[in-house]
Amino acid sequence: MTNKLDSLKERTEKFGEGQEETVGISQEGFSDASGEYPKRDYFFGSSVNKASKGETVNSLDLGGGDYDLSLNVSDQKPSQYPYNQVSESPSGHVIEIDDTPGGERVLIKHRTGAGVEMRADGTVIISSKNQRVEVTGGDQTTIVEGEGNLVYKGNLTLSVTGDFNVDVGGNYNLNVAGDKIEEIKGRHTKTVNRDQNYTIRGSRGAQVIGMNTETLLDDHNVVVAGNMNNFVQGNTEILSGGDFIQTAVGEWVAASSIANITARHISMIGHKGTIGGPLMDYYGKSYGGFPAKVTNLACFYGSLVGKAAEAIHADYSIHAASAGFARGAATAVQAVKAAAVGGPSTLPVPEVPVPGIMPFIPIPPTAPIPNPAIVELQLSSSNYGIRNVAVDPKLKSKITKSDDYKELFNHDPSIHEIRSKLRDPQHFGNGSFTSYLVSQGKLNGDFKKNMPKNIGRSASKTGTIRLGVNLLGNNPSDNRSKRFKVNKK
Amino acid sequence: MKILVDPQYNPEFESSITSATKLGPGITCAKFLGARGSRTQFQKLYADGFFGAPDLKQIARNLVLHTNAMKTVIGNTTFSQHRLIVSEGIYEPNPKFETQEIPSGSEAKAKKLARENSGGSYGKGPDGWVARIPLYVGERPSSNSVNDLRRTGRAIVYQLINKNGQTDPQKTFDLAVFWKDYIDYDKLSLDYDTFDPTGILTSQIVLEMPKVPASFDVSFSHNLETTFNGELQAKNELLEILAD
Repeated sequence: MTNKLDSLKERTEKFGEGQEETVGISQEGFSDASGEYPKRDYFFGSSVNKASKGETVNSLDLGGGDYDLSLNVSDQKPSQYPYNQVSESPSGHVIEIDDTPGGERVLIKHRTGAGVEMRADGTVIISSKNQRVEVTGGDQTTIVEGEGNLVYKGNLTLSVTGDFNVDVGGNYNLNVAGDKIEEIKGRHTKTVNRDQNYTIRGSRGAQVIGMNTETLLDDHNVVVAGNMNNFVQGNTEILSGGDFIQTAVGEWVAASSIANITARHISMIGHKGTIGGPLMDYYGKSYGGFPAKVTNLACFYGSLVGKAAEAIHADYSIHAASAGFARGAATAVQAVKAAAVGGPSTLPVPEVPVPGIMPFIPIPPTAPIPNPAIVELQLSSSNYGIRNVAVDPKLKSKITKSDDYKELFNHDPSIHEIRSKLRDPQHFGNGSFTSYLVSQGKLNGDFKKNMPKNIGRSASKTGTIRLGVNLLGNNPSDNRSKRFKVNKK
Repeated sequence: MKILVDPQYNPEFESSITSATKLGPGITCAKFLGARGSRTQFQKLYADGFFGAPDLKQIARNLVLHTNAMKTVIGNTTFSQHRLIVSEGIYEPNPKFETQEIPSGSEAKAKKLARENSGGSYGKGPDGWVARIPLYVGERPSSNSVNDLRRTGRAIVYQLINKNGQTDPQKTFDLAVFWKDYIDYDKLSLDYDTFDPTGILTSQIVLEMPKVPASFDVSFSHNLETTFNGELQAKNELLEILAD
């Protein structure tokens, strides 16, 4: 294994002891024994640091800003001699204490370009070329009187052991390109003092284990373009302090093993259908059929307890000629008699008027006869008729913006996103897509002008001639470094 | 050419690829996922055929080459006053699916068909058992276009930002020439445009890399081009286009 001593031994044997012992030692005795100084840039000139004389300006490597984010750092003016005290190490570390009028600053710079700079206007610049670690043993307070920008090009994790309190005086804007996931192990309480508006371009779901209570002190509107299903395993109550209206353009179905409809005034009219059942009871003031030219269209089938008006008249001899109209009257009388002697019927039997004794005074119907015209009029009326429901079919595309942006965006895009889309020739050539972008002021109207105003340098595919970083020779007027050409192909 | 990858940043040695996976010093996958022009997440990407999960290791391997390209700029004194940013990273086409009902005859057949297709389900329709297969009807980038290559991290778009937060066309040209000489690539496009509504000239570099296998044995084509507002200006040559 070779080490430094071996190397010394080899050199001594090869070049002789005298040469080896005097390497790097100036013959005059005034030069730098290490041979480090003077540096090439200082040959044949003053050894005063050039930064001290303002010939060069040491500055930190800041990199640029981010897109549309300026660092707002001006260029540092050159120093004036002898105000700038510069200390520069052989490897390139620099400490400057500059008292140049108007350019007072303090600079601590690492050879990599990292460091701290305090400028004349009080600006403090900190630059790290690799990691930056900041540890505070106790409390830390940061007060920024102006605005701030934080840009992380990677992930950011914020871990707070105690409470995390955010107090925003203005708006709180959150723009998340991906998902937003919140897991709250305790309660979630939100108070909105004014309006709240959600736009959900996908589906929405909520699973609630406990009770769900919504208290609305004003109107509640639900507009559904598709179907609406409510599945309730327990009881359902819909109570209204005012009117309760249900209409359906299609079929309306209400089914239950037991149904109760009670009202002080009830109307059920229709063109046709069935009302009743084998054990139904009917009570009412009048029952009528629809009058025709010759007779009434209504027919009653089965037994009748009581007596029809014309049958009553048949009891009187002066109306005997009309007795022929009392169809089934004999049967009706028999039925009454059977009921009077305790016939087979188990239903409550109404009190039977005795024929010929109790006067019969017919009371005409108070409501108009519900003929088809009245039914149609009712169905088309604004209060009791069928309400048509129509949701703007373009509402969905307006919300998703899919029509506007031809299914390429479902939000208003930035110029960066537009540029990204236009890299695909099929989108670049999509006239309706680009026209809409131009009309919305999101794309320059001259985006297809393909003649550049000004052309500068050019470079071919072959390697470029470059100058090396390491300086060659001792004469600064010579080529400062070796020229070379990269040719990797 | 076999690319030597620092084992510390070799995605092949990672059990899973996430946005936090490191590809180089200070460079994670997040840098290529959260670019302003194309913000997305690994979870939202699809396989090449727009169904199923993407090959994240393949994407990460492709991004290793881009990371190496970025590393040549970071710490380079020539570009010490500029910042190289990923302006358009991994590309997620705007997705849209429609459900296609395929009559299957029996429950078993419907179940089988649903299993064979990613995201498929089955059920009984009015006319019997059906398999419900999602059909991708969303955006499909043109084949081998920049956006198509960006889906797998083969192409990435970069901008060089100055201290004022704007792209620097002159310095971008310098970077393109530097990359042309010092890195390997399939295609390097120096791209200028005036798409911004203000009409300002914006410059970027589109770097296309070959598909990187697990062996990291790749070959490069070294093609050059310059474009302005989407129009080819020079092939196998870089042109510096100036604002005025």
